[in-house]
Parts: sequence; structure tokens; C-alpha cells
Amino acid sequence: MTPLLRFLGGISIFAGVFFSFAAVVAILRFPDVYTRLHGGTKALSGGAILILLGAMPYAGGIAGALKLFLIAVFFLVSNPMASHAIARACHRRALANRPIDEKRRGDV
Amino acid sequence: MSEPLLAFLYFFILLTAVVAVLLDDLLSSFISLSVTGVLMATVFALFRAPDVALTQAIINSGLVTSLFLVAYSQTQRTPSPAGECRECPFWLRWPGAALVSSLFAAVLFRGLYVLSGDRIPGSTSAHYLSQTLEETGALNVVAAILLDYRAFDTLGETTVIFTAVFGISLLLSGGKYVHSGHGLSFIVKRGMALLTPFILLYAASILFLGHLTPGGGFQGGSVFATVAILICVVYGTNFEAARISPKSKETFEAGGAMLFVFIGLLGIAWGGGFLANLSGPFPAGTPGSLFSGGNMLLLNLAVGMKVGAGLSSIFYTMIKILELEDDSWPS
Repeated sequence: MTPLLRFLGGISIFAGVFFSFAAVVAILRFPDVYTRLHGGTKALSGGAILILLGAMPYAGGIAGALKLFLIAVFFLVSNPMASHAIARACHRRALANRPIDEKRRGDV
Repeated sequence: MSEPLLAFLYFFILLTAVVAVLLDDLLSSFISLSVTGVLMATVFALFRAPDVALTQAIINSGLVTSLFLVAYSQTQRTPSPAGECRECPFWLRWPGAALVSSLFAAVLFRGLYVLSGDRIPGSTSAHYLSQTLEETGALNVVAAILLDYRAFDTLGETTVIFTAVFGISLLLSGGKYVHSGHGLSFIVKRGMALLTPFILLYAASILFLGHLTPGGGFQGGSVFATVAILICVVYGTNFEAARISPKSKETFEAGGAMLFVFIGLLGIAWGGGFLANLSGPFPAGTPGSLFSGGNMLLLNLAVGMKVGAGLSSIFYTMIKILELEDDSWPS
């Protein structure tokens, strides 16, 4: 049972690393605030939760696995909330649809 | 101890520290600095210093960044327009930052070898590690050193925070605020309400189990202050002031200080000296249970009250001024 769980955990960690990498690429390459937030929130929540779930078989015992699961749940609650707050603030300040690179060029 | 991982972490500490100095935009510098803080907390945790790691993560990455952000909102964005920074040109900042960061990294690398070496018999650290449980009844050696062997120093440290709160309140208490932010959206408010009990439970566990597990009054009080700060940001300062009044924060802070000194005086009254623990009136208890370690539980509570109330009232005072000026925020 345990080797199978560890194998599945390894697959899950690899998938999580892939999604986190996708999130980094999205934050760097997408054109404006909304698309960047989209990439960052979705891919990073998925990536972090997959990594945490994948680490559960390696945690050594039920207590450690339960801790990791709770961390995943809190991540699921807090990360979308934070991105929602950022998106709303950008919407209010009318920053959202301005391409970021153009803005940066305008500053310098 | 995995040295490739440590080398990786040191490299990124160096990188983020240098980036924080070199960036012209203060906001980006703060974010870079808080990344440095998280990485250093990881390094401390790898060195098996969870107390320091906890303090580092809470203070540097949470509280200091939020205080920086408040200060940043009241000042101009860049230190000076680009190209006008005469006293410290770009090429001078770069080697300076690299020098300081690499010195620090060298100290950290040195710590790796000092920690793995043998302990000299008869030295202070060997004494602490072998005798702590017997002499103080606490499982957490760091808490025993902070609250028993060196409790007088802890009193001094908490007095520093007390003084800082007084200073900031005196400096910034000029205007009475009229407007308060309306807070963030409904979703964030509900989510915050969902998370608050868990954060409070976490803070209480850090505070009250400080003599058994990593943590203690300072860290637990900081997490309590974080709750107050989050309420300030999410619900607006008026709501926060209505729920936890500034007066009661002052009472808590002064009460913490008085509790600490009172416990110390109890030791004198018993004939054991100021802040005497087991030689004073306090029982050792069963090691590992909540009521063990003599006065450490009470001292943790006192430090937590002082630090939590102090840090949250510092933030409240600073953000109050901010909202006085920025009252054009649409609801």
C-alpha cells in the first residue's frame, strides 16, 4: 500500500512542480494584470495543493499527513481571496486593462 | 543537513538582498526583502532553530513588511528621481550590497560547521542543554534561557517595544481621524471571518505552549497583532477600533508589563531574587504538561500581552494617519 501511495505522491509532486512553473511563466509573460492574476492564482493554487497532497505519504504518519492536508485547505481558502482583493483594487484604480510593459516604459 | 539545499538558499538570500538594495522602486524592494526573510526563516529551521525561524517568519515577512507598506503609502514612491541620487551612485550600491550580503552568508556558513562540532564540556551551552529540564522544568531550552536564565534581559527587550509604542503614539497622535476605509469586499470580509478563529487558535497555542514547543510570548503576541492588523485592513480602522478599542490595547500592554514585574517581585518576596523561578514560589510541575516550568507560562502570557497590544497599536496609529489623508476612496 505504502509504495503505491508514495508513487502516486511522486506523480502528484511532479504535476505540482509543472503547474508552479506554468504559473511563473504566466506571471512573467502575460500582458496585463487580469491575465497575470488568472495564471498566478489558478496554476499556483493547483501547483501548491498538488505538491502538498503529494507530500502527504512522505510525512510519516497520520498526524503529519493531516497537517499537510490542513495547509492545503487553508491555501485553498486564502489564495483566491487574496487574488480577488488584488483584482478588485486594480479594477477600482483602473489599472487593469493597461498592458504592464507599456506602463513601465511610461514610468521611465 | 543537506548542503546543496543550503547553498541554494544562501544564493537566493544573497540575490534578493542585492536586488532589494538595487531596485529604485521601494515597493519592489519591500517584496524582495520579505522574500529574503522567508528564505532566512527556512535556513534557521534547517539549522534546527525553530524558535528563531518562527520569529523571523512572523516579524520580518509579516509585520515589518506591513509596517513598511504603511510608511511607503505616506511617502513618495522612489527615493529620488532617477539619476539624481548623487551621494550613492548605482555602481557604489552594488558592491556595498554584495559585500554585506556575502559577509552575512559567510557567517551563516560558519554556523553550519560550528553547529555540527562537538560541544565543549563545562561551557554554558553544554550546561543549558543538560541541566535545563532539571533546573527549570521546561522542555523548550530556548524558552528556558529567555524566561528563566536571562529573564531580566527579556524584561529589557519588551521595554524597548513599550518605548517604541509610546514614541510612535506621541509622534503620530496629532489629528483625530474622521474617515475610515470601508474595508475590502464582502468576499474578503467573509473569508477573513472564516479564518480568524483558526489564526487566534494558532496564536494561543504558540503563546501558551511556549515552554514546551517552539514559540513563546513574543511570537504568539505577534500573531495576535497580525489578527488586529488584518482586521484593520479588511474591515477598516473604525470597525477595528469599535471591536478592540485603543484604550483596551493600552490596558493590555501596561497590564503585561505590570504582570511581568509583579512575577519578578514575587520571587524577591519569596527570598529567591528578582524573577526567581523554581527557587521562588513556583512549582516545577510535571515536565511536558501545560503547567510546568514554574513561572514561564505566566511570563509568556505577560510578554504576549505586551507585544501583541504594542505592535497592533503601532500599526493602528500609523494607518490612522494614512486614512486621514486618503479619504477619497469610493465605497
